[in-house]
Amino acid sequence: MSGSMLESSLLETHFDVIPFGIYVVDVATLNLIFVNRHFRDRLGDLAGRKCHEAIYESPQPCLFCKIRNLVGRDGLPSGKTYIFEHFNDKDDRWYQLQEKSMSWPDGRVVKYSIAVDITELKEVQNRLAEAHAELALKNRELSRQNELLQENVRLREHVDRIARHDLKTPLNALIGIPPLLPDYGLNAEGVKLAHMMEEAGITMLNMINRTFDLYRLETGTYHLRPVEVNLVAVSRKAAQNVTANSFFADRPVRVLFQGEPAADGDALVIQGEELLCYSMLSNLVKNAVEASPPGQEITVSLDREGAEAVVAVTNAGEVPEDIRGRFFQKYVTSGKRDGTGLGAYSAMLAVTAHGGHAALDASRPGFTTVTVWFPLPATAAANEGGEPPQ
Amino acid sequence: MRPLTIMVVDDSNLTIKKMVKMIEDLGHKVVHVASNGRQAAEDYPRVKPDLVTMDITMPDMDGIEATKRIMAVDDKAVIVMVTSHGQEQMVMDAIEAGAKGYVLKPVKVEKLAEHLDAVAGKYLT
Repeated sequence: MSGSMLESSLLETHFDVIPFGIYVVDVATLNLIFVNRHFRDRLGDLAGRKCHEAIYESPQPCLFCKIRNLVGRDGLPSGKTYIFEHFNDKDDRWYQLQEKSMSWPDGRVVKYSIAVDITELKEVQNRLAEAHAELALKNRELSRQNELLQENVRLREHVDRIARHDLKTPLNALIGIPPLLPDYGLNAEGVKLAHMMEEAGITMLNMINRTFDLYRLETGTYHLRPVEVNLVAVSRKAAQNVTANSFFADRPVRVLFQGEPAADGDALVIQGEELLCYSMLSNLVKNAVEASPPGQEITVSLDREGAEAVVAVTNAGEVPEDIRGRFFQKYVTSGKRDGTGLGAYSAMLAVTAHGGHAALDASRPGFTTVTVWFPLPATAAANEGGEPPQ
Repeated sequence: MRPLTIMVVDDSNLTIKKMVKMIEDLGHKVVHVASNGRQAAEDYPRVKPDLVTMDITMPDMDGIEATKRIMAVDDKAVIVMVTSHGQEQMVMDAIEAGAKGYVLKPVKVEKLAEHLDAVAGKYLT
C-alpha cells in the first residue's frame, strides 16, 4: 500500500467513526471521493457521483455551494471554514453543515462537509418564525383596516359637513317666513301656529349647530367665546326641559345648590358658553333620567370646590362594569334602545373645552354619579378662599 | 373550501414533486409550475391561479422580487411563501412584498392544508 493510500485509509477510518454524515468532494470535478459510514448506511455508496446529484438530486450545482470560497485563486485550500444551516429537500431534514477544504492524500483539493441533523431544533425555531410571520400578517391587516377606517371617518365627516350646510339652507325660510305671516291676515290661532313653526326652526338650527360644534370639539378646532354663565340657572333649565318629556314624568329631577334646593337668585358663575353648557348638562341629566328606574329621583348638585365649580348628576342604577373604564368614549352606550353613545362623550368634550374635566363615580352600590368640574374665575375662587371681593 | 387552482414556484424538482402531490391529495389542482422567480412573474398573468406557493431562494430571480412583480400586476394575488428561511428580516421582506402566508419547510400535508385553508378563508371567499 502506497503512502497516500495509507493516509487516505486512515482519514476514511477517522471519518467513519464520527457519528455524523461526512462527504468529501473533489472541488474541480464535484465528484464524491468518499462518504462516511453514517451517510453510506442511509444513502448507499455515492462515491464517484456528482455531489449535487447524489445528495440533493439537483441537476445543477447547488446555489448555496461554498466551494468557490473554500479555494483560493491559486487553487489551494483557502483555510476558511463555513458553518451554516441547510434544509435538504431530499430527506426533508435540516442540517448544520460545516465545510472546509483540504488537500487529499492523493494531491487533489477536496471539500469535506460534516452534516449534523438539527431537524428537531429547527422545528421549534420554525414554529416561532411562523408565529412571528402570522403576527406580522395580522399587524399588516390591522394597519390596513385602520387606514380604511380613518378614510371612512374622513369621508363621513366630509358628508356630515355638507349635510349640515345643506340642512341649514331650507331653515332660512322656516325661520324667516313665520314672523312675516301675520302681515298676510292670519288670525290669532294662525299667528300662534306660525310662531310654533319659527320656534321649531330655531330649535332645529341650534341642533345642527350643536352637531357641528361636536365635530369642532373633537378636532380641537372649537373656539370658545366665554361670557358669564350661571350654572345653577342652566342646570335648572336643563332639568326642566328633560322632565318636560311625559315619558320621564315618574323620574323627578331635583337641583341642589350647596345642599339646598336651588332657587332663583342662586349663582355659581363660570366663564363659558351658555348654549354649550346647557347642551352638556342636558345630556348628562337625560342620560341619568334614562338610566334611572321608574319612581327614582335624580339629583343635580352644584357647589364650589376650591377653585372649581362642581356639578354632580346622580341617579339610581349602575353603569355595567365592562363599560365603566370607557364611559366617556365615543359610541359607548348600554341599556338604552336608542342610545347613540354620544351624550357622555360630548359632555366630556364640552367640559374639556371649558378647561374642566369629568369623571364617573360608580363606587356607591346601586347609584351612579357623573361629575363635571369647571375652573372658577379668579375672583370667585378667591372669594371661596375667604378673601373679600376686589 | 372549494378546490383551488395553484401555481407552485420552486427551483427544487424534489420540492415541486412533493408539493404537487400534497396539493392534489388535498383536492386542489396544480395548474402551473415555475422553477424560478422570473418565470413565475412572467407566467402569472397568463395562468392567473387562485393561489401561488413561492420559494424564496431561487436562481435568476428570488421569490421576494417575484412576489413584488406579481403584486404589481395583480394586487389581489394570493401568494404563500413556502421556504426554508425563517429569519425575521426575510419574513418581513416577504410580507412587505405582499405575501399572504408564510410556511417553513419541511412542509407536511397537514401543515399545508392548515395554511391553505386559512389563506383561502381570508382572501378567496
